[in-house]
Amino acid sequence: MNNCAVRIILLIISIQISLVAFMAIAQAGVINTKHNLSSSAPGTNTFKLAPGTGTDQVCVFCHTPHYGSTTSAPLWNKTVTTAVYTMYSSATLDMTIAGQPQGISAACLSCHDGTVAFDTFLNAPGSGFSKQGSWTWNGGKNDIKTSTSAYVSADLSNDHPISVTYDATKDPAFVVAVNGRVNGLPLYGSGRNQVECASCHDVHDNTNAPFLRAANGGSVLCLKCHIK
Amino acid sequence: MLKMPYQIVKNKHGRVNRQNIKRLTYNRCRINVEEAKCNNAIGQNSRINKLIGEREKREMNKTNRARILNVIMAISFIIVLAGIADAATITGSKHDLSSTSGGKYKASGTGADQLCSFCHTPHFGSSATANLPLWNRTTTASGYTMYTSATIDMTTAAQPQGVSAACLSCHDGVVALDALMNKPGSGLTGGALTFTPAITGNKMNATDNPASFISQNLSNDHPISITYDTTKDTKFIAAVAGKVGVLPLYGASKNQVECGTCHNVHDNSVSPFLRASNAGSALCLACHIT
Repeated sequence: MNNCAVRIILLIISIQISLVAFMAIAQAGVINTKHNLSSSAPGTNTFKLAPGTGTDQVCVFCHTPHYGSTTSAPLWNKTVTTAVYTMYSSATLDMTIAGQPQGISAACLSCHDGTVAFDTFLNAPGSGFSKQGSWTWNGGKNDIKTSTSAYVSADLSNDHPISVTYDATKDPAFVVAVNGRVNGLPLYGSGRNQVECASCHDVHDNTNAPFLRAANGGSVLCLKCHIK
Repeated sequence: MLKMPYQIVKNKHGRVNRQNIKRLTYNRCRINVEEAKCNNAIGQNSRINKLIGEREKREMNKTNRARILNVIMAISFIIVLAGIADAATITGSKHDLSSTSGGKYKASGTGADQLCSFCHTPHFGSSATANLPLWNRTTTASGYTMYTSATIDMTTAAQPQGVSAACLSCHDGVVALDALMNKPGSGLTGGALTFTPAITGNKMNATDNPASFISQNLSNDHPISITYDTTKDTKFIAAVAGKVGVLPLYGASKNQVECGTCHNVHDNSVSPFLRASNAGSALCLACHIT
């Protein structure tokens, strides 16, 4: 092999390495967040499967390519919770809240209400069709109830309202939505007018902890909707 | 002095800089620094010796890099060869329905030992699925419920196309496993086949095939026959020459996500017939930017 060929190959390899490095930086991604429950999760995660146990697949804890839920978020892989929720209510609230959590919020709650175990799937990873992983996370936990901050529970009366029909005509202290978004924050549902968990949170990206769609310095996230 | 492999030039201040030490010979042999020092009339100058030493070190590093690269190339070559030698086939997999199969189902009856015939035929193959080599099964053109989502930005066809329609000609449970366009042997029609273990109506169904029976309801499955267009959704990795990473796109424009994008029907070395390992969800992340 002559020196010229060596140099070209070295150049190609170094370009590839730079590309991989660049992609790792450019993509925040779910992999290095607390939402990665697999054995490939960062070592600092509270809920991480011991190496070599359970599965190293990341997406499978929420999504499946087959047999997913059709009522929730895209190809949701969790059993629909049977919990009965206490919704938020307020004497001064002007917009309308649904009777129970809808769509994408129901998906979030399928873990965060603590009623469905992490390893209960519609379609567990691997060949065949099992619904239960029978795995345990650090210290025998397999649901979110032991978490002090992430356990929302089925009592939503102390949480910001979700499944609210966003309608600034009912309350002028809110910014008017444009094309299903309020200052960039997405609304959901077929009418693209529902405030759900994901209006403020991006489940796949913890750049702005805790999984916020934007940094909340100066409460800018709150002020994207609320006129105060 | 003449044999000295380094030319040493003093600058205008009478000092020797790194760039002033130039190699006179360009052969690939190692330069003997000691020789250079001996032949060097001003070789007693420790600064020049140090610079020659540094130069020599750089030459050595370059040679070592080339050697390491050669080793890496050789190993890669061996891995590629091993891959070819190990390439799994459909034989013995669950997609081998023949009488000699070690997979889930074994057929018995005329021509039941011909494993390719369950999908392909050399004559009278289907012309309905132009993308498929000589498909031996009737594909179903309508009746599918496609995947929909309020947040999807790319476009899904109204019914399954091309290669996916072929997969579904077994996996939707509409067409019997032994309902072939051209049965093995002379003449177009052969006798019915019997499968062991028995499968109701010789068609895939939820009881016998809870995992692999897709049905005509595709609303709970990853979308297929979707035009892959990253300009519509930036959370996807752009395709290059009809592939996203190693995953192929289909159709005349090579831009359709079909079953065959993730699955390799002929190779179950990564179960369930995946094109690549999904460890760490790598297969999902080949397209999706989360």
